[in-house]
Amino acid sequence: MGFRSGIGFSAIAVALLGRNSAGGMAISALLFGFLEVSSRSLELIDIAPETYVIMQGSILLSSVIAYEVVRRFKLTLQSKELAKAVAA
Amino acid sequence: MKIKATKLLLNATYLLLLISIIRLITGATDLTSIGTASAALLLSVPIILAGLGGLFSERAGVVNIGLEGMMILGAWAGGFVGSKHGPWFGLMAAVIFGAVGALLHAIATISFGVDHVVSGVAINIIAAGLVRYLSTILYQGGSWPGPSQSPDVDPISSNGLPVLSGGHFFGWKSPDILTPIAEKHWFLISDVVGIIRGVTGDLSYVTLIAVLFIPLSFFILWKTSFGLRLRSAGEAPIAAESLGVNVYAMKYAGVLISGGLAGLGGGFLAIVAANHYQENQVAGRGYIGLAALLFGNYRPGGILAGAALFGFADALQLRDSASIHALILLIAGILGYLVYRDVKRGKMLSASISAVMAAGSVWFYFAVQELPGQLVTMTPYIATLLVMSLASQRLRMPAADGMPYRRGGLR
Repeated sequence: MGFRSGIGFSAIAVALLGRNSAGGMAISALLFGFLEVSSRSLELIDIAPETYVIMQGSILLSSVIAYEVVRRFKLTLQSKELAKAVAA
Repeated sequence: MKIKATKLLLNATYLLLLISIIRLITGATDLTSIGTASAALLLSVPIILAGLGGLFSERAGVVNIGLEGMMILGAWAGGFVGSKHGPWFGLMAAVIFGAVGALLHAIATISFGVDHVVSGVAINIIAAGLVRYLSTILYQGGSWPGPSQSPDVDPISSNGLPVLSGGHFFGWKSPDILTPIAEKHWFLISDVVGIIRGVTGDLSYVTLIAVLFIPLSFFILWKTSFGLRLRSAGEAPIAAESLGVNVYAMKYAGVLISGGLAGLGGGFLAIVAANHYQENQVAGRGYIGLAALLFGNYRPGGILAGAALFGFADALQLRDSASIHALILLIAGILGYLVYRDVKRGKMLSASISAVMAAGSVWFYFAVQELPGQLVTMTPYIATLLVMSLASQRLRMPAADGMPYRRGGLR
């Protein structure tokens, strides 16, 4: 496999994806590792294996956006229920 | 303001005097040679551009770790478009690509309120992967010479100051008065002239534009109403909103300008500093630009100082490793000045620490005849670290920098 560089940098992404909890980090590290290893088979069908880096980045970005959207949705739901309870 | 400028000038004169004394003692003529000065300028321009990019974004309250990624996008676009349609179109494409990266950052952080650092890291990852992917495709398509290298870009013409530094205008080649004076190695005079000739002669037009961006960004941010609104978005967004400022628009503008400047810095690396795009060309300059921004206390002039320091050390390291040895003596001289200053102010503890460090550097200078190559390559980073730790400074970042903001005070 050889000596790999840039692991420390990927680790930041893994930690952020796991939302700074140990279990989450383990899962996100597994996901990133899976992506990287399975990307090698892409070469067989003439797709540049570098796609896995793009995938990792987009997963990170879209998942944090999804976290944020869900959080906001929950907040509005809460305030609506609160308003209902006050009105009743 | 007036007193500050005089003091700055006085300190610069002291430093120049110290450098020329050391040049005389050690005979390291490359310390102030024309070549070193012009290489230092060339190396600091991308850092200046990245730092100014950071300035616009952070003044609007958005932390931009993604500068590195935006520079990578700019460098790639510069190589890709520049090799097809000429260098100026390449630079334009670099600005646009940098701004596209910034748009992603802006959507994530401003519209969705994602943590700024997370989004920046994601953009750095995506940009690095994307350009590698696109380069591979182009290489496989046969239009690129290598999977990590673009075809050559035509150079952008350069010019110099008329009469003094051998500029040329409308086919008229002016004389070059300064070069012979700089090569005489007179005490102080040749040093000043060498530095002036280095930074005013054989300038690429892009370098000129990039340096002009420093006063321009000062003017835009501190002298126009747009700049005031942009800065208010970074200091107190809720207060700005209550006065009718469209905070979202200001933040978007700041981040987009930031990406454009960072992209231009990347394009500069590909088109002016080299003549093609190469993988890992940016090599952390986005982060160094961010460091220059912090060093310069979120001000354009400070960014110039930080970038110049790094560029000078880097140029010296690349050109002549022997002069790095002389640089140790320079550090000893600066520490000696600090001892004098602290004794005068009665701070005995810090004075003695500086004295010990100065004595140590003098000893190191005489004990070591030649520095090992690895240490020489480290010089710019060590110099930046040293100055940042020695210069006692009061940093003040924009008050709401990095905070999520939503209209109407929502969470």
